[in-house]
Amino acid sequence: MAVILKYLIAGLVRYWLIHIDYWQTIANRVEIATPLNSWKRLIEGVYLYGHNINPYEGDSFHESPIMLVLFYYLMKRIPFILPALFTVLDLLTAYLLYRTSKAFINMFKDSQDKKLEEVSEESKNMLLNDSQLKEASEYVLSVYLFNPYSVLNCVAMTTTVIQNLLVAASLWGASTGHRILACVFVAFATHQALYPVLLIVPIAILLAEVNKGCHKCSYIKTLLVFVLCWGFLIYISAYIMDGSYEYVYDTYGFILTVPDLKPNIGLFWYFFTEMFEHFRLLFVCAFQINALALYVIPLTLRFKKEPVLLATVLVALSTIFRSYPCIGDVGFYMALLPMWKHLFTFMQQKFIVGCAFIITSALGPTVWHLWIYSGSANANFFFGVTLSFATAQIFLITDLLFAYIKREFTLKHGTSRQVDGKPAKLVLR
Amino acid sequence: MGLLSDPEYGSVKWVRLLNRIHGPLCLLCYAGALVWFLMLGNKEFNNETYFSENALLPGLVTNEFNAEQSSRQFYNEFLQELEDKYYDTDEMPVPWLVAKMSQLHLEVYTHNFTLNYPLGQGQIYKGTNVYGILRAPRTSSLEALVVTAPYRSISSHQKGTAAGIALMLAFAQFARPQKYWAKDIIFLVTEHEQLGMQAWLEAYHGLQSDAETFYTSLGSFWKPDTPAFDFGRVGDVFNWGGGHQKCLDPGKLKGRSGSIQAAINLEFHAPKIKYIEVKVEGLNGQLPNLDLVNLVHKLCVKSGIHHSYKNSYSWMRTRNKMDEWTNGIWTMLGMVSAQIAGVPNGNHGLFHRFGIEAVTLEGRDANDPAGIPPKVNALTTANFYRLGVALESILRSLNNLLERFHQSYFFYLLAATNRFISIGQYMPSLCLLCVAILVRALSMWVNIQQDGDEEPEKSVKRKTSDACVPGEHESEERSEEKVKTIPKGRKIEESNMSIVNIGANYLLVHLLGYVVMNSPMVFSKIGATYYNQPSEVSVFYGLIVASVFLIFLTPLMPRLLRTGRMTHEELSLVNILLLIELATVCLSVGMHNFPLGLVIAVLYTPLALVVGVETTGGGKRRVITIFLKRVLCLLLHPLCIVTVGMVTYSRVLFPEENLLSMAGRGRDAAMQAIMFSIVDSLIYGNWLYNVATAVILPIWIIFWQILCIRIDDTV
Repeated sequence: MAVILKYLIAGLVRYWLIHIDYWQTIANRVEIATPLNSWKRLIEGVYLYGHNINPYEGDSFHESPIMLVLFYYLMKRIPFILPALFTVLDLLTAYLLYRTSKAFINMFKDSQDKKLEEVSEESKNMLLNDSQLKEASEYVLSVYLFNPYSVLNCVAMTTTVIQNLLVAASLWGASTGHRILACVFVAFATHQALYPVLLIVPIAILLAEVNKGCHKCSYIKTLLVFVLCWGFLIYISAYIMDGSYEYVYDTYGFILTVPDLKPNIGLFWYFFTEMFEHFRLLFVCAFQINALALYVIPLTLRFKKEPVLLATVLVALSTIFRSYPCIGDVGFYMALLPMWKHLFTFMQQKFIVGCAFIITSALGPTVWHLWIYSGSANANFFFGVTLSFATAQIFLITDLLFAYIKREFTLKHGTSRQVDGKPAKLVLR
Repeated sequence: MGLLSDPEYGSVKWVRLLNRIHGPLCLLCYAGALVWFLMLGNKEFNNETYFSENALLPGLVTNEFNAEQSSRQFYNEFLQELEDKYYDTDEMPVPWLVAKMSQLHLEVYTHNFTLNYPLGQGQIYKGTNVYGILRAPRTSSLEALVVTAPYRSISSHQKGTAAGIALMLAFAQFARPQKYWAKDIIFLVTEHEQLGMQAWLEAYHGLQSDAETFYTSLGSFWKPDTPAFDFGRVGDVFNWGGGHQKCLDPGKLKGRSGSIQAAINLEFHAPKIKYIEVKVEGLNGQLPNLDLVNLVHKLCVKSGIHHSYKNSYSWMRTRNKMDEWTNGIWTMLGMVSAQIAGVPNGNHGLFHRFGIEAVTLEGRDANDPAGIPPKVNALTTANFYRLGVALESILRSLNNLLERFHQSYFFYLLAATNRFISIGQYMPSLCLLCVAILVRALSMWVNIQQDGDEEPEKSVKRKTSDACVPGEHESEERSEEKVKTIPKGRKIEESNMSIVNIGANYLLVHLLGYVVMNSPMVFSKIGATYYNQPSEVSVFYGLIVASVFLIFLTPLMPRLLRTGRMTHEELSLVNILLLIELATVCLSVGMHNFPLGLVIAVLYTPLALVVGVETTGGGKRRVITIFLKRVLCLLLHPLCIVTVGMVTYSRVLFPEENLLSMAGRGRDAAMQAIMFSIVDSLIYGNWLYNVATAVILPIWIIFWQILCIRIDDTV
């Protein structure tokens, strides 16, 4: 009953907010809508497509052709359903996340039972029990439904809503062991926004773990299915665009080379407006490696036993460092965090991170207003706020990782942390 | 990675230290903030003003102003016209102004506007502005400067502006044949003070308020007669809150120029003035670019006119450091008090909202109502020639601008006409106040974690018969994790509920604030229909009734929302959230309008520091302290602050009155102040009233709730 009420309230709030007078303001906020996902650009692209003009020829549209066709038909036939559709899709995302977290939590339970003999005597009471685990997935649901970030994202009707759905679906597929499903969805998400490509690593590990058997074969199979799906989607898109692959420059190329420097909550725009033009390539490469490749391998090596944590952290890191992030992405990974509720007690920077999130969320729009509307502040103010927002997120992720390691250590060695009778200190290396 | 690695070993010490010193630390921050602010008045802590924008080239031209004869003539003719035809009416001599401007070969237009008074019984006010455009010979009307003067009738209780209008016309006559103008100059005379200015600006920029809804954004994809179920109509049902209609109808302008770069507002009642007061404070405390302010001050010096800003007079240069410091402090405080209300103190203030830099030059006599500065009688009086030269040099300097004002500072405080304090220097005082609030929140947060320890610690001991004695070195953090990891089922249920409760209470309180924000319309209507009272009376008493209602009702709200008893932890969490919200609000408001943010922080930080979760029991002293805290809280109710502030203010203005009439006068002033803030918020978009009701009031309510609920710890 309470669960249905939650869905109902969350749905109504979203649906109501789409219909208020401030909708336009919400939908055009830079924090919510980026050049990649904004509703305005989507409609523009669909309009052009409807008039037989290639929407990728200009610089207004950067979604994938599949979305283009999908929304073309939706808008042509049933435009009035769109607010409800977006609301329902977002609720569906919440539901999938809920199912996923349930499955993940069962995995925690299993792995805990397996390692039971390694746990030291004095840490026995730290083990997770059923009610705690059950509670965690409830929190996942509530956080996704009522987090202002995800609510605003849905209200602004960005394509990030669909992106979140696809990622949630792929995680759900992986958690239940449906290889095809997981790969198809992650390929879809990758096709749309590129960065979810990182997720194939934890998903491959997860699938191998869930479907018992030869791990290496499983990895290869997953990878193969993914590549095939992705290739197929790229081909389909080209087919939609009359066999031309030009669209790739305006979708993947747009994401990778960051030509549109409209401010957003990310870190790219400011650096690239300040930079000398002939260093651009170097820095684009550096930034994109940071977003795409840098963390995958070390984290995979360290957390290959914990693909769920790996997935959470990779989603979060790619959100922070991607070229066009929006608060919808932030809302998505925040919904995954309650799964790690048992780590919260080990986290040190909860208060700082919490304060930073609240204060930057309020200050961001403030300085934006001062910069754009009053003309009194300038870009540095806004970038300062977004920079501290990003720093808070990085703190959060690092803290989470470290909390995990601490818990692992404590489980194994007991709560009294001593080396040769002296109190020891754990250091993150 | 020191920051990110494990501070656990040190954390015990750290937590204990925080627990011991957080009280003094917060006090220190508070005192530090105030001291910092006062230090800013000192010469050592502020800076000499300077020009950032080189394009201005101030005072490099040879002044050619030669129209003092005609200004005198315009002045006399204008006064004659007013005496003859407009003696007992408020109307503006539009035909005279239009005729004069046309004779000067300006492009002359009139502009009509209408105000539907938002409160009361639908009164309608009409007004007319007159403006003439001098087209620049050198460019194609892409940029413009504005010279403006408000029209004040003879019967007005304010000083007239006849000399300002005369000077403007004479200057137009002088400027018309000049070849060097690269920007159009718009000469504007507005009616009804700021109302006319706002209407003209809105009309000039073509403001329209109709926001696009989702369905209109669909463009051609949306056909209103689309079959199937019509969600749009359901949307209308949702739309009950959005019926916002605009009360000021700015009308249309018949002639326009380019984008306005700067504006100078002239308020001269007579040519023979002693000195010029430069007014800068705008709507919502926004300030013009410091370059423009410097420009005006510098060119006043060059034209031999005495000038002043608040308590700082150009002809008073003391060598006594102490005097200089106190003068600086008084000037800053004057600026703070002018900015708090967010009401512009001249027509220039409305330009800022549109990204146009503007200042007002007000002429003052020796016996000006604003106060008598020292040694004013010894000053030489200015005349039309000097004023004209000043205006000419200012406009010719602005004429040199290559791009909009963007250098220099937009956020500053002035400590004298030539000393300023930039945002980086004054922000620390606000930040220190916020730090005090946050440290308080942090100490509470740490306490929650610790409080949780003790109880389960015992249960752990009972459970584990092993000798797992927590040693001295064992960190609180770790014992706390035990708490979290082994709660009983019932407790989980409770904590889950508590989040819902806290959230619901929070939302409800903020919703109440929103309701109060929108209530004046209703109060005014009720007062008018049932009690036949003017709207300021009905709104004032309506707000008092609402506040009393809230004071008695809101402490019950958390109890109504829940079934179980309120826990200490839960209430602490509310308190922590509240403190973070308060700090956030102070910072955000302080970014927009530093004085307002500072004042909110200065007023509410003491409350934030004394309010904590109260438990039942305790002796008489405890009861008294709680009572005192509640009294302090009641005193800090926004409505109470306004009333007390106004009573004190009237006491300062009329010290000879007795207590009762002083209270009466204060009440009337409070009524007026509240009414003005509401009307300003509706017409000009001044958000003081909105912030006070929709943000500060909810914060206050939660403080009140926390103070009124006493937790039963014995159970």
